[in-house]
Amino acid sequence: MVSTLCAACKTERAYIKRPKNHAKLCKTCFISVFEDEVHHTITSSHLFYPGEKVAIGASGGKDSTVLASVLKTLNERHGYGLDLVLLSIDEGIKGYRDDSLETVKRNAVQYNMPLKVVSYEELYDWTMDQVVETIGKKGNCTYCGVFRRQALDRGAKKLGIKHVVTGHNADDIAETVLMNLLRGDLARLSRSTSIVTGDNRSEVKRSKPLKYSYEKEIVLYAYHKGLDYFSTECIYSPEAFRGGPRSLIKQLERVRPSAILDIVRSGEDMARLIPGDSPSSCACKGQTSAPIAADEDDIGGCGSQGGRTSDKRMAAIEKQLRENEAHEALEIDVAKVKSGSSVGERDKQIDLPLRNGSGLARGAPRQVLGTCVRCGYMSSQAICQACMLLENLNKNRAQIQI
Amino acid sequence: MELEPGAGPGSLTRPCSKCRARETTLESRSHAVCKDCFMNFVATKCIKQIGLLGKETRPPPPASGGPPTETRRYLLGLSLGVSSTVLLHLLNENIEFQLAKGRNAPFELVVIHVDTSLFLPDQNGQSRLAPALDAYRQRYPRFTFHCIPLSSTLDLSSTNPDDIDWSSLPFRSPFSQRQGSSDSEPSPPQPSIDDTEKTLQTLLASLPSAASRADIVRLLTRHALVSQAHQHGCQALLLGHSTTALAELTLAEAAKGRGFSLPWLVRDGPSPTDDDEDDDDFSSSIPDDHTATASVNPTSNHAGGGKDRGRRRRLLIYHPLRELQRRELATYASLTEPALTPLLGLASPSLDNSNSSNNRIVSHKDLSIEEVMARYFGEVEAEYPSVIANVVRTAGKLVPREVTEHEGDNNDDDEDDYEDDGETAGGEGSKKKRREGRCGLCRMPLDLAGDERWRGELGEKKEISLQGRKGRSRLCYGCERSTAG
Repeated sequence: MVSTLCAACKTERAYIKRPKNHAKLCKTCFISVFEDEVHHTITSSHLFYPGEKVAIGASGGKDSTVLASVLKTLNERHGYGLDLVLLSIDEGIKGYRDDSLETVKRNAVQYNMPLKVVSYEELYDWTMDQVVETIGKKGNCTYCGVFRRQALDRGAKKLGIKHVVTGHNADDIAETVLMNLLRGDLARLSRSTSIVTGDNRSEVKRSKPLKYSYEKEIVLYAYHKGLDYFSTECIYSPEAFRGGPRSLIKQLERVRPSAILDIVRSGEDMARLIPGDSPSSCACKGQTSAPIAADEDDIGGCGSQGGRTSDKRMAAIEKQLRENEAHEALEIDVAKVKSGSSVGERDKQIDLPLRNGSGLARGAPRQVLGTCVRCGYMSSQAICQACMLLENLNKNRAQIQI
Repeated sequence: MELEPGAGPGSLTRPCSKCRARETTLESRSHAVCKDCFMNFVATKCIKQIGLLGKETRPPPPASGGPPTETRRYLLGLSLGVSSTVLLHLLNENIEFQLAKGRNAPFELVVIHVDTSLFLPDQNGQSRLAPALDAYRQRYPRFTFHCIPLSSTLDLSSTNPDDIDWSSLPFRSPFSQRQGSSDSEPSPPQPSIDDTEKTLQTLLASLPSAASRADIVRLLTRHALVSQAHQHGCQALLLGHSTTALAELTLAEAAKGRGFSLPWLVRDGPSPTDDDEDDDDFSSSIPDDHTATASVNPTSNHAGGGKDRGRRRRLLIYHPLRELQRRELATYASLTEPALTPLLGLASPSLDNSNSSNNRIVSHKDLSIEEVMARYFGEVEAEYPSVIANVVRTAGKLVPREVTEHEGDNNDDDEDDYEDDGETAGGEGSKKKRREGRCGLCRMPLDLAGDERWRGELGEKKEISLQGRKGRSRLCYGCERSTAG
């Protein structure tokens, strides 16, 4: 049998068909190409500065393990001069997180990086096991997501680190782009596509060095590098779904391998076409009166479920939108004309504060950062999402104890 | 959708929730309604958009004063699918309604079907779709119908800034003798129809995948329609896209990396290949009488038609069915009297949706992006109609950009002052600028800043092609993907 030679080195036998562009490469060349591309992303986006202390959000899963491995390799190879630390969150899920934390502990030894673990228990006085016990499995991911986002930042602050890198990959970003198109949330679309999030006012910035790396290539990289990672799904994560954007992305990838990156590119480009800072320059009800509830950190969920969107989420969005439509029907004509012709060009000129009565007033834009009056964590509301959720939980706990 | 008919005549078991006078036979948007109210609902949604368009295309009053003498003239792109057929029917109804009231017809309509089948005409020079079109002609004698082969796009003069710049494409130019030609070179002799069909077939066969072919066919179809609209002196191109189709288009184009030009595709308004600042290219004179529309005159390159009163005829693209779901249109088509369904059956079954152009060339095993989207939305439409409407609304909120500022694009100094040039530089200069600022294939504005930032992310070495070869148009990201793989 005639074997194909690697398209890059032309000497070794091609062993891997790259998911990204179907190039046939040998194992060594694949690994080096993968690393080179992450290096390109890092340098072209000026992600780091020499001497920077960077925390790697490590769950023990494939994405964050590959991220840690690649960053260590590149840091040494290209002399980034980074001080890398593993930062793990212990959600308190027995039979899942305790095992994956063992993986992270091994990684810390393998990569010779310090490891910091912050737990929900110490931060919020609640483990996810207790949360699920109280509220049931339904909707527990919302709590977990909100808590994790804050926990990562708090953990970083404890370490005196201002930069957290996460393992979000191209598939995650592409999913968020489609999700936010379906949801009609342009502000979030814009935020989710940018490689660095958090402006000057937020104390900890986040970045996604694997933003352009395919999930499939991450798996291949982990496999061929023989990385030690944990691949069990979270025991509380929603079941397999149908009709979510993730499945759409996988189908598109089959039709055209570049589709995932093409979606990311489209998302970045569309982010630059968003009028103003806020999506609500059109007084559309979907934005101002009733923001669609979703995880604050909606990219890739918690990593353990591969960021898949559940069917329920689509249903929730549909429900929200219908409610908005129902409200819309009660509105005066001005509003109706507006939403009806929202695609028309002249529409942009009409920018009237139509609905002071209901929900959030336009005078309170959603993205003004302040700090939570309870925990001091940055928040756009008086009380941050985590404290709101905690308040709910604590009410229930009090009742149970009585 | 259709419910069981009511129990008995006389007594209303389930009165229509809108008129309360007739029996409910349908469920429309969570309301139980009668057939008349449903038909009325569909018609109203469409006519509302036609009304908006009518305001945009109001003819100027004659210099002598008095009411306008010109008539509005629109072009309808008829795919022979459900949506565009319903649109045709609704437009016909609208005209009949106005005439019945003793008013003038609100607009003239030219109907064009772009034949994407790539099959050669039979011996009589007839397309195999001729019987289907004849049936339409019979049903709607008021309108002129034309069938244009997709290969007609190959004949478009390349000196026109809005036409495809074949030299920008990585594959062989359809007319080899034209290769390397400059803008000023006169058009080569017209090749025979057979030749152009074959050339187009070869060209499409050279594309890397079914997805690419479907994408390019879609682009060429749109080119053909826009070009026909200009040639027929139309003020607007009407497309039959439903909400569902627009949502599909939005996500499909996003999936093809065309996010940057997306707002141009889904909104109602001026054609993106149109430019108000230039006043020469497309101000074709309006044919004197109705019969003149039958002959397709390439008048597009003649400057300033006298009948135009110096006003440039810009082309608007409208989607009058944008607020209706695909399944609502299908229901409508089955309820008209007589039903539209027999008309739809005349074209090949694969034409049975608004994406007709994409269905023919694709083999069974490899799908196009459009088909993946159509399947997805087929599932989603019934369950999540508001999500679909929201996609279209969201895409409509994006602000289309003409040409981006380019951060650090040192390779094309002469383009840096592009935006200032629009009004000051006239004639050939600005025309050239316009060409350079646009993709050579889809003619959408190029996203130079985005290309600059993106370079290298695909892990391919051939990003250089995004730069364009010297003296040729660049391709946008989406077209680059479709032509290169």
